[in-house]
Amino acid sequence: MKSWIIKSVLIIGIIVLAVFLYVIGKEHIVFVENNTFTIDGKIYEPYDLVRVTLDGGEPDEIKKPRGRSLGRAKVSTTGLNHKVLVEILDDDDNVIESKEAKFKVKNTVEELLLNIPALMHDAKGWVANNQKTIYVENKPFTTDGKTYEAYEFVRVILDRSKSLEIRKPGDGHTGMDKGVVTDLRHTLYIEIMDNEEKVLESKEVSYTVKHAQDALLINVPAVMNDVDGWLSEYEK
Amino acid sequence: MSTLKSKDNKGKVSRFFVNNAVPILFILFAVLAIPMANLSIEYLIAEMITRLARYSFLVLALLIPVIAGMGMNFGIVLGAMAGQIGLIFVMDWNVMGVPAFFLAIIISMPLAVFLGWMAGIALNHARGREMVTSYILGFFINGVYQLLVLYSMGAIIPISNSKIVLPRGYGIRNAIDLVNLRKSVDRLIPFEIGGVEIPVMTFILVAILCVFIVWFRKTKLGQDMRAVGQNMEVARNAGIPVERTRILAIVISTVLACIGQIIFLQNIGTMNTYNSHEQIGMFSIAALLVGGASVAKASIKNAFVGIVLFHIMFVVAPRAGKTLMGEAQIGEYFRVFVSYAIIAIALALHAWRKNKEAEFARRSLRIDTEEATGTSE
Amino acid sequence: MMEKIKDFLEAAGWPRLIIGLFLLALFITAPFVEVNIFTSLSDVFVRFGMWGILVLAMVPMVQGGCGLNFGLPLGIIAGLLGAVTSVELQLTGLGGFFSAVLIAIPFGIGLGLLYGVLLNKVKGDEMTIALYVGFSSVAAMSMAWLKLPYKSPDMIWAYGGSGLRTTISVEKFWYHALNDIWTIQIGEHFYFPTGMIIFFAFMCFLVWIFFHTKTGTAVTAAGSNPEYARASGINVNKMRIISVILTTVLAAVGIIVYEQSFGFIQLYLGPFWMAFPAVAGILLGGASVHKATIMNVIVGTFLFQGILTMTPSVINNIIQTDMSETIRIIVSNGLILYALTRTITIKSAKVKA
Repeated sequence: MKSWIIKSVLIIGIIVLAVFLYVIGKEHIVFVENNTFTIDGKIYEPYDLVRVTLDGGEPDEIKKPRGRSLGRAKVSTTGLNHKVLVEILDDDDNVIESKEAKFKVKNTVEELLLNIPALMHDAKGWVANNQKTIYVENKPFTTDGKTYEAYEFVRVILDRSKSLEIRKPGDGHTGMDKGVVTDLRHTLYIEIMDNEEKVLESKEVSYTVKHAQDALLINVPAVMNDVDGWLSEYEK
Repeated sequence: MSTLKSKDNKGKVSRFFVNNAVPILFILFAVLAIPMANLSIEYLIAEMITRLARYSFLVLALLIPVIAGMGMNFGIVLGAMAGQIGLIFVMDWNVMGVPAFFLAIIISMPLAVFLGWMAGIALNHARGREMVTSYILGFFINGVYQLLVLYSMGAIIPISNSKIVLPRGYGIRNAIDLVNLRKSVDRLIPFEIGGVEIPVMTFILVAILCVFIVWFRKTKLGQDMRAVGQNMEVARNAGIPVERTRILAIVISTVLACIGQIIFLQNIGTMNTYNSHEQIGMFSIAALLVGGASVAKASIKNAFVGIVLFHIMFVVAPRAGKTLMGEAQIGEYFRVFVSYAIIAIALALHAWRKNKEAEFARRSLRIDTEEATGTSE
Repeated sequence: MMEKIKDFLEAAGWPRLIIGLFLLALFITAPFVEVNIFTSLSDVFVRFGMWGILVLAMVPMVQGGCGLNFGLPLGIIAGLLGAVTSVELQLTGLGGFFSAVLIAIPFGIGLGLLYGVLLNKVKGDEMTIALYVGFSSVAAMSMAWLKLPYKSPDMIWAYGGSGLRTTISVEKFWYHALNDIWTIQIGEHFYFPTGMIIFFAFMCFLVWIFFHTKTGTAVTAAGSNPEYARASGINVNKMRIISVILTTVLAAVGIIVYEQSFGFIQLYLGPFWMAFPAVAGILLGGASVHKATIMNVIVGTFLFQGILTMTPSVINNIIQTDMSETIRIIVSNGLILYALTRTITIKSAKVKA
């Protein structure tokens, strides 16, 4: 009896240790961007030159996006609690303004997007999940009293890499699927197919995701008929 | 006995040479070949430190089955495979640094225990030919490993990281860059002497293992193993569960090898998914035998001496071959030759000695019984 | 009736039965997955002929009580020496083939003698040591291939590098020297290498005869019960050496037969793993570590080579993935493992007592 208890305590202890190691060791990539940030009609412009230090590591200098420069840096971190130091620099590398902020990461998040102008202005959403879940539905869409019917079978390709195949709702099909994409700018390619997988019609559209949004909903019939509202925030 | 005593000293010296023939041969080789290789002593020392850090744990993993009389456990390859599977998962989950190292150990441990347990059962069925059996077992499990890693990871087992999965969507890439944990343990406590990096933490782990082995020998289980190793029938009559003890010896060895392989790979920094484990058994065993161990007796000292001597040969041979024969290729083959020949010679010497003793014992027994009764048993 | 079935099962043994049924299933499935059954059958026969003598080379040593010959590469080296020398002498056709065999035999006898003496010193551990003798002899020979004074432009590197090439084509010399005797060709796809199979049968016959001579029975006696053999005045050590020499010579002949069909002599690390398919073959045929018959050789080689030929083509066509290598590893080593872990015989217990 006693050894049984010791054994189970030991096993639970090891599992807890494993989870702990996973949590503190898991890599989170932080994309630090010095880009224009828009929220509630307000626009925060990027700075000419900033220096960013994450968790006291090697500092990164980021210029304003221009030409080929994307205005972003990629930093690898581990653990859940982070500290970021932002220093705004002038042409002679003198610090004009600096600010330190703290943020937490959820363990499941692989990539983060950290916006410097937003951080400097304490705007909501300065740190966001860089991975956005895109829900795609093939369901009837009603707007202005008009209804666009769902298609028999569609194939949706997200960012030219992730392919989803969705049938009409009913017969055990939900008429919905999802995929994970990273970053803000995306493309969507839709193929309407018959039951022999012959493509009847296809269309490609592009769209942007806002920083603060974690999940979006796209309605296929609405996209195909160019109806406003094909892209909306996903609500459970 | 009196005649033996009179030439005691001479006998001692010659016995020392006979017992340590293999290490002495290697020291001679090193003395001859090092000047020919044109390598600086600093380079050699740095290389030996790296290799001690890399191989010690694996070689030490061989010691416990020797105590239990099961010879050289080629089955450490099984542990190595378990360790690699742990590393694949850690890489898939993007876990970094020292936590990744320990997490890989925790994940692969149950697998190593299971494989060791299976190997132990198999070896219990192959008494007297444990070594060939564990060798073939390594090959067999290698096939299963391929089935698992090359065909079902990404297909049945959820692995999705494009850094490690083949472009076709399932199966693990041939070479995995262990960026996440390259030298993470080696450099945990940074220390340098004269530009040579010393992997302090790795040596601490090795030291802990040495202490464990010394302690283990004194435990009840360790004593049981020794008894089983000396004579299975006597041990059984003394109430020791022979089968269970032998299985435990293999399980411990497999688990240690699993940790050893993870240490080995974090030091190298790249994992050849389908090759890194294959040579491990052979190299570790060759090193231990070069250190003066035999199939029936192996110590911690043998392990360290062996690693240094074997790897001096390993580093020096191609270069010496080039100087001596004008061809590096000869040195390469020489290296392969020595690795295998040393095992052959050490095993043959041991078997020969054992047969001699058995024959002597039989003869004296025969004489005794004849003298005592004059009748047959 | 039930008794008869039971007897048959006992005689055939489960591994053979399972593998045999599996092979049959493969042959039945083959046409459905667009694998040409005639091509496959021909492949099986050709590989059967190529491996037959190498598997046969296991028999004398097992019978002589030295266990499975994991040291097969040693004999193969003797064969390679014969083959390379005959190419050096520019000998062609059947003459070239037989001269290769004749040159190889003395090497086989010499190496076998040394090997046998060594194995006599290590009774009880023959297999492990044989394994490493095989490996280290291949590596030692690799150094020799770099330095041996062969001069034929067909065998040395045309430019750069020194020593013999890693693979030497025998196309110009004795390629298919045996295969092409009385070949049966039916239609486009079926081909039967009559000459090679007859040669294999002839070698089997020679071995069979040997084991029915006085020396042969003495070898078997020395192997199956050394104590008893010694008591009845047989020189056990000598008999063991004879069995090892015979094994080594057979391996030497076997590799030459293999090469004349394959078309290439593979030097350097080529013979490294060749013991394993041969060992797996004879074990699949029902041999044990202590007893092997010619029937074991024939059945085992056919089944094992059949599996190796058929699995890749059929399985790959079914699942569209090339898993042949993995399957080969699992099947061949699984078989060896099965044989090694089978019930402990009385003999090994006796050594300990």
